[in-house]
Amino acid sequence: MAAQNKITHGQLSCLVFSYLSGFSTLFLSEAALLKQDVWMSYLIGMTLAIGMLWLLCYVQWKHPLLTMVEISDKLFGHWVSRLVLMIYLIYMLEMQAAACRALSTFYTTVVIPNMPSNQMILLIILCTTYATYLGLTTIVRAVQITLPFFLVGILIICFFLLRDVETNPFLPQFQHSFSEVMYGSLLSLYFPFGKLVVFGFLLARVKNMKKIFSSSIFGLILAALYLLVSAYLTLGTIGIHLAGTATFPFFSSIQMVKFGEYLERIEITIIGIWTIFTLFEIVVLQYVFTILLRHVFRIKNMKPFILPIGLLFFISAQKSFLRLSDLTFYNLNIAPFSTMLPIAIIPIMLSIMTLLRKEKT
Amino acid sequence: MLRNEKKEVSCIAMMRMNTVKIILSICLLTCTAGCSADVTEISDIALVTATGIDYDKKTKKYTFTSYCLLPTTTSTANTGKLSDWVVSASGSSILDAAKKLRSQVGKTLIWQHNKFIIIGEGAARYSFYEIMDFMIRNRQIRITSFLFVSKGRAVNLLHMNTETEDLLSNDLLGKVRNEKDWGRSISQSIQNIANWNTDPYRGFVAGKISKSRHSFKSKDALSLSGGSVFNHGKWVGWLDEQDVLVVHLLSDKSKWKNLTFSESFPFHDSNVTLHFKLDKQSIQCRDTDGPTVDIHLSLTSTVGEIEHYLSVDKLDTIIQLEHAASTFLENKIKHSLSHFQKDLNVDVIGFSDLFYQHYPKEWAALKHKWSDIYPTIPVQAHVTVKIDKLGLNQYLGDH
Amino acid sequence: MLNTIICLLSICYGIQQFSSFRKQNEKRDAIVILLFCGMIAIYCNPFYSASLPTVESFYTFVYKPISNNLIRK
Repeated sequence: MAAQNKITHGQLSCLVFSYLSGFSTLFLSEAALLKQDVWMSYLIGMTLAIGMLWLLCYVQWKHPLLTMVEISDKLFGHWVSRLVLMIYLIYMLEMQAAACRALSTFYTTVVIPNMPSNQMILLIILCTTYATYLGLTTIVRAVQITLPFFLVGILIICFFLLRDVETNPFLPQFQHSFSEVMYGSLLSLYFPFGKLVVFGFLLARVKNMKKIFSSSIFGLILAALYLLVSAYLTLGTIGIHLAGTATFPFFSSIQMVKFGEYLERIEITIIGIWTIFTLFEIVVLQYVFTILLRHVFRIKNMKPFILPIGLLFFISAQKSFLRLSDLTFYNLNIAPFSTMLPIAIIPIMLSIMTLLRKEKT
Repeated sequence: MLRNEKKEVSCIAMMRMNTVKIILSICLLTCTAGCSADVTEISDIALVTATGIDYDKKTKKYTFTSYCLLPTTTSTANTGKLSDWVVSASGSSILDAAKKLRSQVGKTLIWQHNKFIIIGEGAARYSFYEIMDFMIRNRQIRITSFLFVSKGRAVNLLHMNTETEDLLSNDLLGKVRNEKDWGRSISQSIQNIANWNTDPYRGFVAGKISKSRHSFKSKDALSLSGGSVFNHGKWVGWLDEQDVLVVHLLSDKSKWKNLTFSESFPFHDSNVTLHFKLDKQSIQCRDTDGPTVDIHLSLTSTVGEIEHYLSVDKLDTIIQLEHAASTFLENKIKHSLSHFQKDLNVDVIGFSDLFYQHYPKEWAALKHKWSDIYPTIPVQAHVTVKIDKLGLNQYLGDH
Repeated sequence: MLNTIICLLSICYGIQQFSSFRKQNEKRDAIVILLFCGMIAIYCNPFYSASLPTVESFYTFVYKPISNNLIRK
């Protein structure tokens, strides 16, 4: 890879944070399910994601001159590797469809109910397609420039919400059974922590190979902290019962913020945060999709394929999750199991194959 | 020559690319906010600032009333002047009645600045779940709006003129603001009500709005005083002003942080009125030999007025006065809590939440018999009063 | 309407890129882009695209029995 296409480990952290944050605080499904015990599921989900990331970094460290797709070819052979990469392609289509639908459902429920969802999804995809066309270095620079503003926005929201929390919403502890907590951990591994697996294909683009693990962990921990604080503030502000039934609980809690008599309606900040972070999430998915597609079909010139990939993303999002209930059902029942293969099983297989090959040599 | 030709070709390619980009950008303009179907012109809107919902059990019809403000934008002389207007419609559901309003109004109604929801007594009794569901589900109604139950029908109250000739919503907002100086009315947000409404173990107090008329006045005025009690999603009854003050003192900090109230009580053959402010509040539950609740309140106070001479310049008198004030407030709290526990049997303060948070195991056994146990829970109220200020004068005359 | 436009655009784009790749002797790229744009056109066609499978429907079909068993436990 040319040196000018490499990103720094700091840029990697920023990208990981904004990618994982995405729309993670939009539905807060685990908080609605586990309420005061939600911190356990976030902790377990985050730990499992750290384990998965370590496996990917280990594989990358053992093959410092190869990209992950080339490593997959080397370890699995050409045809099995293509199958494995196809699984990731389908995973990315699944994740981006959910992301597009979540954002467009939010906009059409709360902000602009008369706008057709298709139009909304098309706008999102046109934006992300153009970003993919511009390349990874442009994407990370855009993330670097916008991130400080959104971090300040998040801090302001948290400060205002903290004033309204009067009793500890995380009491009483340990009210849910082991199986409920495990299910919640599975949910939080699927979304948002397990999405980090996609970064396995970008690790080779980082300049300082030794720092890929620490910088990714930094982004992951920050994203986990943001999610935990949002869950705490939501449960503390709007109450446990309402948090379990509200469609967008964090949004409802931000609507409660009132400073004096005139400073209210600060929910516009979280709308901006969700929009931009979700766009970054879809951009990363689309970019990695182009890398994988190029390798699967051995395409030489990728530029003409970027627009059709965008259109494929549009169709996938347009035809999936037509109702909010479909998305909720899928997130709670299907996706935690369907994403186990790309998030857990394949990284484990990659690391086992790397270890076996290392022992042979 | 060849280099120049190459340069020309690349310039032409760049120009073509730029043209394509410009055309695409122009096409994308159709998706901008100005072309959205959700655009509303400011001259077309009427801001709804208070909403009334009534329900007639016999006809099973809802009456939806909107108190609207029309911003005048036609002339610069009239900017800042708002004209108000009340419109009502009936329907088989709240949404049906709300949509029927469109047949009567010539403007687009916007509920995003709605601050008050007033529900009639009939609606509170028979249809509270539907009303709460409608308000929580609707994207325009903010959960920071206040809900009041009106004595009689909400539509009649919204048609009233205010005494100051000000807008009704401004008048109500002022009365809500004044709550912190009086403490005997309560304004509860929809968020709290929605959160507590589905809790099977506790009830809550919402605001009460009614007409009142003084003997020296010729017309009625809107008054916020007292409260309305809800339990298990249904309206249970009215709460008087004294009990509402106790609810304020025992609620979350946001309800008593800025509260100042006054109480008169007898002391040494004189009636003394003190202004109180709550500094610290602690409500703790214990479960040793059965559930008990301990309430500790710490108040600071200023002497408001005294009926006859009292030696308030002497420390002994002040200490005795503080004891008397503490005893008076303790009795007041006990009397109100006895009313909540024994007469109403509604956990308006939320003791069930406290037990659940701090004694979850014991709560698991208690909750099945909560309606039997709650009236018997001994509640100890400990009030300490500190009179730190006397006002601008200590006493009248020479003694 | 939007889908019909995308269907027509993808067909035109696919054919244009196919011929462009053929001129550059990139046979594999040409076939892949034609197949890709063809798939987009099929999914966007205004006649029977509603019944075509998506990732959501495929995974729901495959994983629903597993999910029902595990979640019940």
